[in-house]
Amino acid sequence: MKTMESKDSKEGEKAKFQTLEINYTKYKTILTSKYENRKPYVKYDEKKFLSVLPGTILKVDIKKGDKIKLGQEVMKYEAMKMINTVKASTAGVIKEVNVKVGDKVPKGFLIFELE
Amino acid sequence: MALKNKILDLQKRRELVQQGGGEKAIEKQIAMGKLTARDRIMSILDKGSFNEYDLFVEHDARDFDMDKVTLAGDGVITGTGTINNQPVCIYAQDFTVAGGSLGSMHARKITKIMDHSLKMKMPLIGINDSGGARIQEGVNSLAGYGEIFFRNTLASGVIPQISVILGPCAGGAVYSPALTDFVFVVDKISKMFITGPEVIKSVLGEEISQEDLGGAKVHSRITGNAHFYAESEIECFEQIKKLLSFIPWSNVHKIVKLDPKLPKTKLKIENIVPEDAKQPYDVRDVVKCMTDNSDFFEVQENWAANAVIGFGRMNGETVGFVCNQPLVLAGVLDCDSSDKIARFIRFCDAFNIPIITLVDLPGYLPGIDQEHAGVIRHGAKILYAYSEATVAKVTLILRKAYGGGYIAMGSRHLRADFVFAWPTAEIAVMGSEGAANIIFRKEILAAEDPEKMRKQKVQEYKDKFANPYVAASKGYIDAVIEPGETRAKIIHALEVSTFKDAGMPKKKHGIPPF
Repeated sequence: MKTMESKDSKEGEKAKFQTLEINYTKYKTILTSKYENRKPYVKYDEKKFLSVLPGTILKVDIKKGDKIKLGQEVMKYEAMKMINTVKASTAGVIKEVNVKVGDKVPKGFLIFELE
Repeated sequence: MALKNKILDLQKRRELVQQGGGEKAIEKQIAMGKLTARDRIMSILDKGSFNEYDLFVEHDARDFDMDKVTLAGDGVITGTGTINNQPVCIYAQDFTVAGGSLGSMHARKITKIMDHSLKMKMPLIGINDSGGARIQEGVNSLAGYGEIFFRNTLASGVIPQISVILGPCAGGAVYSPALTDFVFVVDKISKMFITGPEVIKSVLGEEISQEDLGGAKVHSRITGNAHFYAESEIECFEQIKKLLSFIPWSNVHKIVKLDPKLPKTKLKIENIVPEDAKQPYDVRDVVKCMTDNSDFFEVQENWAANAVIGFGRMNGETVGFVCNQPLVLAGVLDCDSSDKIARFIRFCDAFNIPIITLVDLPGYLPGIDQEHAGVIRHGAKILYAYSEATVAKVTLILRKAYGGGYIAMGSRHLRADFVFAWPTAEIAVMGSEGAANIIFRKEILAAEDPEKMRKQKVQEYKDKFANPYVAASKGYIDAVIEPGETRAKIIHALEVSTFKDAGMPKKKHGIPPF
């Protein structure tokens, strides 16, 4: 049975070692796929309105060049069986609207952007 | 004669129910590469030991023409038996009967055997192979799940609970396994998820197969929901038997002591750990030099492999090992490995299994992703688990023990009973290079040849602090031992800890950073 005995150290020697730096010290070790595939950090940009849930656009009240106020209703968006009203979390002038009624958008999609 | 007829009648009734969903459904089950529920129970339990209960239980649903349908045993087989001659309670959902769907009577059979296992203090094994709630029974089937979850929680820490996922286990059903102590999965057969691929596709437009979403490999490598991965059902059953050979029947039973055996590995314990702290090695080799027969039964082998946890025996008694693994991610602590270690410590503590900690780590994993994933909250689980554990705790520092990692990994300060260190141990706030760079920053910058000065200062720091003697001088470690003495010292430490009384304050329960 394979899982009964832990693997020989030989297997480790054959494995591809890489370097991991911690506190100025470089350690020779194996990196896990989870570590290597970790998502790079993206700074939050208040001018970019990203979808927090995947869903369908039901209504769009804004277009390019519109001036919007803080808290103004800009969109209706169906996600998780709920019709959500999207309100502006920042005031500004619309630079681009990337959706139209009926669009299905995934999570993290750039719905609209301010100048 | 009348009795004979009645016995014949009983036998006929039994036979009928024992056929489960009938030949066609059984053929289908086998075509999927799965054993039948009954065969599974027979393969796990000692031969001839199974005693079945509630064979003639029938569902009581009346809506949607369900009153015209009979479901053999209501889709689940329950009973008691033995494994390695130790008693267990067991249930197996029968996918051939209405897809193993859970209705109220099905759930009542399960909760009845759960109540038995808790009352009689014996392990519970649940084999999951079910399409989910029986929709025709509506809220009654949801009530059934709730009753099961409640009992899982009640029994937690009292009896070992084992979940075996041998088919689909979706939606609410996944929470019973999640509440139990050990989850076993089998390649291509086990499927666990909250929402299946169809829902994900319709809601998110994302396409994924059942296997890639919640197959055995996913849960044993990525999510950590599974503890043991096997390639066949038979291999999985052997793993269950092996696990049960290490753990007690309940929190009041003492584990059966076996005859002490010497380690049989040809590895030499003093040759495994490289002197250079930057060089990797497999910590499991050190464990094998310590355990009886060099037998080590690893838990969650493929998930968060930068930590190694598992069971072995020393001098015939079961112990739990918690180790950093320099081979993977330099043995750092991160969110996943903290979860893995903390939960294992709590299992060992609940079932009176001494904990042996092997330390060699550079610290916590640096990174934005780790910080934002809550490494503070997750890392704190280790501190909580070690501090709270009242079983015998023996810690051995093999090489590096830096910073927060030193404190977390079963240090004296979290009330380890015995802390040993090899002469190769370096106990410090951080590695020599990092420390020298900070402490001698001015000198290094001011030097004519900063690089030369840096090297000199690193060496200076190394000579002075990269050893176990500073910590030993404060009594933070009890003894600096030679690698060759390790097994004897630890066995002695465990022997003298037999009647340990930790004297914890009275409380309802603590609030661990879940």
